[in-house]
Amino acid sequence: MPTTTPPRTAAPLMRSLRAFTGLILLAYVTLHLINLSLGLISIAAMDAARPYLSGFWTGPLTGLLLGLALLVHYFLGLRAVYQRPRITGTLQDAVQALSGLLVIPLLAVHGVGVFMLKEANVEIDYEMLNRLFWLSNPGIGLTQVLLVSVVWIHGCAGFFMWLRARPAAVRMLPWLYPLAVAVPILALLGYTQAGRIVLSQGLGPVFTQLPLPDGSAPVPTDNVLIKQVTYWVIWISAALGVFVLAARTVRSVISQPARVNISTQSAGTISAQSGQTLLDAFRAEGQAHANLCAGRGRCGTCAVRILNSDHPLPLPDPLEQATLDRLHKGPDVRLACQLRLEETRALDVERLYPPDFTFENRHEHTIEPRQEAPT
Amino acid sequence: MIRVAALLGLLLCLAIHPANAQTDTAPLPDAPSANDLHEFTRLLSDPRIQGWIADQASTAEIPANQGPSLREELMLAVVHTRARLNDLGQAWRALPSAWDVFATQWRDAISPERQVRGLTFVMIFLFVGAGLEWLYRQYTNPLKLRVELSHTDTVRQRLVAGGLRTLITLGGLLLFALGSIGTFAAFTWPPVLETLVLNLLVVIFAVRAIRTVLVLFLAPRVQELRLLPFGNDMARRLARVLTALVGTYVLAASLADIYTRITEGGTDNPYALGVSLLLALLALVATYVTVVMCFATKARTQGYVLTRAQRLWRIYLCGLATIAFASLVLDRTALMWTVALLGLLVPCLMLLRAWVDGAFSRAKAEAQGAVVLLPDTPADETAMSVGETPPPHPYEIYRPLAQRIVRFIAIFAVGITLALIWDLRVFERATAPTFAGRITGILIDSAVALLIADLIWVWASTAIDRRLSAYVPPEPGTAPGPEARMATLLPLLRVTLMIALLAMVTMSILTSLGVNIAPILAGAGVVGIAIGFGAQSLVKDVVSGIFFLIDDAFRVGEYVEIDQLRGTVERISIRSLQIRHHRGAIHTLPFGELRHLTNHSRDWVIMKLEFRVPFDTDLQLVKKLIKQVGVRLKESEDYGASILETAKSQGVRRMEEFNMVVGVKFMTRPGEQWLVRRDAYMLVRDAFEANGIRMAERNVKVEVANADNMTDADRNAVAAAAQQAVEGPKGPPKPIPDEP
Repeated sequence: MPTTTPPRTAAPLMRSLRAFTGLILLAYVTLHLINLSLGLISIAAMDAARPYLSGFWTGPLTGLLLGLALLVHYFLGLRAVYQRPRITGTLQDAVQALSGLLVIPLLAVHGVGVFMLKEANVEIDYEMLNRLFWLSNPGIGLTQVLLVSVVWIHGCAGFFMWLRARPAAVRMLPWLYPLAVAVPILALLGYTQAGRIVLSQGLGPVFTQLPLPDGSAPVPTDNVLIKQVTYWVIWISAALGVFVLAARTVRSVISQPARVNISTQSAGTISAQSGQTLLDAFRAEGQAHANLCAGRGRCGTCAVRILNSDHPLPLPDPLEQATLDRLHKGPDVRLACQLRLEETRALDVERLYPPDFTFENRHEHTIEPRQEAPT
Repeated sequence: MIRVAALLGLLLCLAIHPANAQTDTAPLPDAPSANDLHEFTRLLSDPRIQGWIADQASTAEIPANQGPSLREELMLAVVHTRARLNDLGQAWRALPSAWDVFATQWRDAISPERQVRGLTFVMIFLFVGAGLEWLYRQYTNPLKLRVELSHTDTVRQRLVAGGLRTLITLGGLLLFALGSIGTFAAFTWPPVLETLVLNLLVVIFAVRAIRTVLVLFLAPRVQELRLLPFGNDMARRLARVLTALVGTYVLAASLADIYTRITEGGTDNPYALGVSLLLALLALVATYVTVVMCFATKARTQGYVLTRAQRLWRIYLCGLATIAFASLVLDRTALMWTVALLGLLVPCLMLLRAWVDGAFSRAKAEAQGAVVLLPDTPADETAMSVGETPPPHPYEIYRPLAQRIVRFIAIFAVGITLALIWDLRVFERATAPTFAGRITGILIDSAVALLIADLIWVWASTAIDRRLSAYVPPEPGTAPGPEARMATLLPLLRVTLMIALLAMVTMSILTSLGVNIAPILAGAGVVGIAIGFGAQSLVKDVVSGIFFLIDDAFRVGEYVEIDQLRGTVERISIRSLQIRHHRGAIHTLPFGELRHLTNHSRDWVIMKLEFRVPFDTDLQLVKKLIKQVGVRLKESEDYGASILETAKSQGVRRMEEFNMVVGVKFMTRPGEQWLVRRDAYMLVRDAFEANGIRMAERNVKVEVANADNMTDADRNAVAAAAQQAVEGPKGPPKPIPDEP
């Protein structure tokens, strides 16, 4: 009897939590970027809209929620990057994993700086920040552009993947794509325009410390402390990322892969390495296979009917089982994205959906199940 | 005199190139006074001066149009090379300090803050471009995926699918360029930064565009759409390695350009020259590495052994790169491009040929496989197709044509590019500037003429061969189909076409060599007229023959009647027609003599028979019997299939003196009517006899009054007299009717 992977009972909960925190963060980033895009009008417009768009998130309750969401999302992401059998299977996976690891180091300068300055009651507005980013510290300005790109790519990759796996939301997608491009582009152009204004003025940033609400003099800001905290955050997050990637590498080196022969009804026989999922095996051999949620076990479009296997397959975990229950396709159907090739050396499968399946054309072509009983 | 000529030359220059003249001769003297102008116009209107100017102009044209002689050009080349070697020496000495020069200029031009800000801008532009492309892809990806997954059977489908895929990718690339370069253009930049950023954007764009073209041919991910005959692994590696190589080229060129611009040196700047050549050397090394890697990949698929030809190709490609590099070092850019293009043309042509072959073989195999595997083909059809030898697949006939077309396009593109490089202006008929240029021009002209003629010839002869191969000569004894005349006309057409093409190509090449072909044409025209008069009737025969053939008036094996001559058509030549009389005589008729022609072998023939029966015959019974005969005729194994309408009674056709005439009619295919008539007579006679119907015979009824009292002798005498009256006087025998 082959050893089965222990069922990950927490998987559906983790998945929902990651999606939920991700949505909160994406909402914050979107509002922040819309605020930036007002720079196309003027810096004063940016500052005027700040309390409603960005300032809303720095309140005591929302700030706490945002920070928690960031931490939870980050660590769940680290966990997922470690657990996923392959992260370079598709461009999408690789981009999402790497951008996720990059966000915290890139965010550190801006996030820590603004947070600590605010704690020290320094007045922070876009006038000051733009001067800082464009005039006195152009390196930090460059980091911000990278940060916006990376965060937005990461957020959109996750968001659209989440949305694409929901049949109800599919109709909205074509309307959301232009928005997804317009928001960051307008924000970057707004940032550029603000920079041009600042550069033509040529004045450096001015830090003014406001008195505390009770009238006492504020504690002077300690730039050295801010820098130290920033460096710590950068180094720790970078080390975490490197550690997770290294742990993955070690794991894949230790598990010696064998060859698995997979024969399909439509695409002939392919030979793949064991230790990856069936979907990744298809991808690695250049066989197109439907996967709307990119192997997250959500959509069920990668489902295959198992016709024959020389070893018993591992049992579906709760995550896969939930999706399978929703599909109602029969007991011999499994999700290719969740089915790990462990002991099996020869597998005979039949795909249930054509490779270019989407929920929009679901009525056009669904492959009918074969009539004869599988052997 | 010389001074006047110089003045005229200057005036001409002023008239033609006012802008140039103003920049070249910057300090113009004071404008001429009104008197001078008046004097000059007077001189110009003088007829003697005018005549002299015309003389000078007509004699001055000839030397102006001739380029420098070969010796002068060689001298120039030697001088140029010597100067270039000198420059190279300087560049070599200047190379160690090249980086310092660049760094100084760079630091002077841009402060570190501006560098970082420039990078920020570049990031933003790239993001804008990438964002637009991403948006485009979200909408086109389903279509692209469908194209990639669709099953392609024929060559055309594969070409269309590959082209569509490339177009989709190029559309995204265009949006990327519009987004990034467009945003870049919206801002004003310091010149140094502009050079840098624009170069960077152009490098990214160029590499991606070339990558798209590579993907069109190699299709590393989709085997179905691959145009070149490579396996999956080979295609993937080739695509990767070639993209890297092209990237190196573009980057090297771009870096050289950036260096030259930033150090603000022209072509004579030794630093820029040194750096350019260093980068070119790097590109050369990258080429070597790429060639070796490509062949190593190829070797891997063959079990780590290269064939002799492949090893030779490897050496050839490396040598080609070296020669191109040497030309670049010696500042012969045109030569470098020529070497590279012509050198790559040969392997490219071989690859394309292999592609066409592979594509056709594959499409053919699939088409035949589809026919065999078609489940609902009726069994008898399959049996028939197995029994006969299968006709050549249509792809076989198109294959040479497709190969020519592909070759033509490739060579034509290279020729045009070469002409542009050498600045020949082939379409403007300008004189070539140098001796080598003139030679190249002649070669390109001749090659184009040959290629076009070859293409037309292969196309036409393929079409003719296709028609001819579709023609199956009739079996002896059966009538030929309408294609038979094509078997006569088409070879003639082919020969005519070949002669015409040969003549035209020869003329064209002679023209490009500079030979005046007008006398040849005129001579040919005179000879043509003379021959035309002499061979008037021959021409008449041939022309009317062509029209008779086009009209399909007769075919080999048909029975025709021309004026008084009858017979079977035995041979059709381009001038005359030979018919064989059914008694063996052969008549030869020139087509020019034919006015009208009767063809007895077309479609159907009606044959009418007559039977004479006595007046007391039961006509209903006759009708029934003839109907039965008709059925039996139709059932005959020998000719039953040739009977179109079988024999049936037409009733009484007329009444005669002693009997009725019953008509019988049937319709058969031409040539079969005699056989059917023979059996019809036989069967009708037998049927009548079996049913007691007598054929009417000539008899005489002699009414003799008082016959009862006649003696036997009298009776005999009366009978003899009646007999004599019936038989009548015997004349000479009638001629046998003229039937085969």
